Amino acid sequence: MRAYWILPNREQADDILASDGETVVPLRQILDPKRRPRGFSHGVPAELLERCGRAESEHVLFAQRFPDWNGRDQLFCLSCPAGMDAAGRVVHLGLMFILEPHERPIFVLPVAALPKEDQPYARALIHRMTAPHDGDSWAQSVRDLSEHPFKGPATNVELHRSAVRFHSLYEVGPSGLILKRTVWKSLATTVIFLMLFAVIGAYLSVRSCATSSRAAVQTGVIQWRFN
Amino acid sequence: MMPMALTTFRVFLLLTSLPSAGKHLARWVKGAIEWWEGKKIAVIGPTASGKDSFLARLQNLEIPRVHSNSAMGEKVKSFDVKLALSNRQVVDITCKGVINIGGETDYRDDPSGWLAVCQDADVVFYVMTVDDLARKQFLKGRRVRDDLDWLLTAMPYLKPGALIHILINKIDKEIETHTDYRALAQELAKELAALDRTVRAVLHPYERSYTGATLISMKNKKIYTRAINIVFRAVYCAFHESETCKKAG
Repeated sequence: MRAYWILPNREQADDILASDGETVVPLRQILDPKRRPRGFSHGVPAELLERCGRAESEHVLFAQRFPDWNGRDQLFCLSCPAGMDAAGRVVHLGLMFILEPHERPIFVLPVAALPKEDQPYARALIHRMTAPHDGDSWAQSVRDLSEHPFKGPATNVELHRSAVRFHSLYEVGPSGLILKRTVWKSLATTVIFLMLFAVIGAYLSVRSCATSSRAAVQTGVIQWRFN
Repeated sequence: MMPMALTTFRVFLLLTSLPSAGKHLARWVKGAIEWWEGKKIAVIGPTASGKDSFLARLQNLEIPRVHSNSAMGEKVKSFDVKLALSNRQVVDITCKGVINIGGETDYRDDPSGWLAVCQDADVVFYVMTVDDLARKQFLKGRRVRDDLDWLLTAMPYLKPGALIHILINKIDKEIETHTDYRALAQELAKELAALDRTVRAVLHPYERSYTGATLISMKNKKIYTRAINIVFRAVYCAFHESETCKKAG
């Protein structure tokens, strides 16, 4: 397992910076932009922050998992909001893991090399992931994502505006993060449609029999004429 | 039911047998398809240059007070841009398939980043700031110049006839910090001319796609309204010109 911090872009710089806990380097030196998986995010997507509202958005955790991203390893990335930049824009702190195919991320990484203003966010993130408490559904969703055997790219929470489609187990509901019910929904919809088709089919067959001028059963002798 | 269908079919046959009806029908169908397709715009540029704000302004929305450093490409719901320009031309386009993307160089060099955003675009808006202009970021080895170099390499993969317009944002800040506006105007004109020359030189042989650079402020609605009129007039004229060229060809 290789783990890196993705640092908040507070200075509005051209490069996204990353750290292995000891040194700080541009993220592109660790993850070449040309080899980045499609839909990779270095932070929390804006749509989640908008949907959660200002109060809840501080607690949002966003995670992505790309199994087999370079034909061998899997990429796991976790991010959270980490304050604001000079222009008042929300910036993000991330934890990126490059894992063996069956490895699971371990959320421990030194914070000493990070800029001072980023360290409290880093400590809080690690604390949430290593010492979870029952009410933290965001942290639970990240753990579920790390353990669920998704075959394709997946996120901990459903996205509606992503340019790439992801599997997900949770969605943002009116009262926070909830387990997705799409499987049950689609099953119920299928059953309803099947029942509807059956009723319509039965009604049409009965109606066609009732309106037909032909007798329901014809008896007699059929004569074949040959010229 | 049957006679009515027959009558409709007969009317259709009669119409299509008329000399110019086929042409009109084809034009109508083509127009309808084009209308449905809408126009695609791409907004790219360095981080914090005002891409989100520009997308908000185009949708006639206020700039969000709290917004986020774009962390991934996110789809923007299709929206209409209806503007009456000062020369009585009307811009009425449906922007579809717009993707909001970050400005860090990682997104530029990611094949599913800027290139994917620009690939089907009819107009590419490159947003930079007045500060970038003042710090001559368009000189070799600097950020804007690197982006222009990238744009040149992307040109063969863009839609044929795609246009590029540069928006130089945050002019309101510059105005607020100056008192001698004549000197400021002269200075900006000089820098704009230098940028213009650089863009044309860098984009060669695709320099015809470049429709100019306009000073703008996404924050100040008055400046935005004046600037966007200039922007769309330039883009409209370039589109019209290419249409004329196609017809002449």
